[in-house]
Amino acid sequence: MDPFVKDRIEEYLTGDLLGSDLEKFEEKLAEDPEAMELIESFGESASLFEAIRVEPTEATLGGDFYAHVQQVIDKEKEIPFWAVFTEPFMLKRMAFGALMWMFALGSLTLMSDQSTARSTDLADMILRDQPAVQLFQARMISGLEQNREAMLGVVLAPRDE
Amino acid sequence: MATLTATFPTHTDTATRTKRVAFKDTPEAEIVRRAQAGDQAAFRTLVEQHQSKVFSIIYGILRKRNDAEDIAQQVFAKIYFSLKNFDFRSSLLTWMYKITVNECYDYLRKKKVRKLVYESDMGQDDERTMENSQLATDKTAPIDRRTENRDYLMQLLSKVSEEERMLLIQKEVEGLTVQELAAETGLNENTIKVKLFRARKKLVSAASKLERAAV
Repeated sequence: MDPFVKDRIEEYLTGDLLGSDLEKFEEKLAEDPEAMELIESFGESASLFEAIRVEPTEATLGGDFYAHVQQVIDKEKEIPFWAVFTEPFMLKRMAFGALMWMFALGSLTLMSDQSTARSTDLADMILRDQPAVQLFQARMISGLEQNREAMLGVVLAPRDE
Repeated sequence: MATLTATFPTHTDTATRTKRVAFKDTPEAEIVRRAQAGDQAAFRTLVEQHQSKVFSIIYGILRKRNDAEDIAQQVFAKIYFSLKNFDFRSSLLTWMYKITVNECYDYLRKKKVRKLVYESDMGQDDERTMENSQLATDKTAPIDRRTENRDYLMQLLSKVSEEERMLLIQKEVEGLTVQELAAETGLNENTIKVKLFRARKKLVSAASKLERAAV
């Protein structure tokens, strides 16, 4: 779209574009059908605002308007303390807090799962790598004294690693 | 965005350049500061200064005097409670407009939900009776074209950003010029033109989407 046209769209739509500027604007539009179509649709959408336009005489308020505003303010001030939890801002904070808790609990659960797995591995390793049971060659006889010495001899004897 | 900005000629001459408005230094700012500090008389002054404009926006959108008055009271109550957050980045009126239009949207949304709930609560016989009565009245009653257009416009306006909505309403309903909008918002005229162009394009695109959906 031509910069001259683009710069003057608002004036054109409000009917404030006059004289040679208007002529130039319309010439430029005639050369660019796409721009003309767009500006026509701008005009159509602008005319929709007529539906919410109000005449100054229609929008008059009574002299007691401020008193009513004050009543609404006083009523709002009386709102119970728990109503703060239903405020959108508070709800957002609570939702954020809940998310953070869920994240923390999730991380904790994952970490505890990992430590359980680690302790299971350790237990497996201990069971797997147990030292071989040595067969003790102690000869037992009926004499208590001799048996004790035989046992001590076995226990104190150097072991094969 | 870059192309849009690039195609708008930039004004370098001082005549068309808008000075950035210092909203903190306006006489109204002093009243706002007093109201922010809890001065009831200052707040009353602000209400009395702006009540007509706020009410006319609400009344234009709702077209129901009683509801519009209730909403206007709620808007000012909301302004009372959030005035301490007003940071003078735009004019007070622009800030009030945002609250006002959002409140109207809330009202229309609640009303729509209430209508849907009411209709879902109705039995089949009730629905049939209502449909028949609507058919009977539609034949005779004149179609409220203005309400229809208003609903359509509100639907379209819901597709643009809050800022674009404000600019369009202030331009088309309040009749503010680009220069006045620049003064109200604290933006320069070129930015206002770019924003309005973009907003209008969005409206047109939303309208064509709605038309396509309706076919």
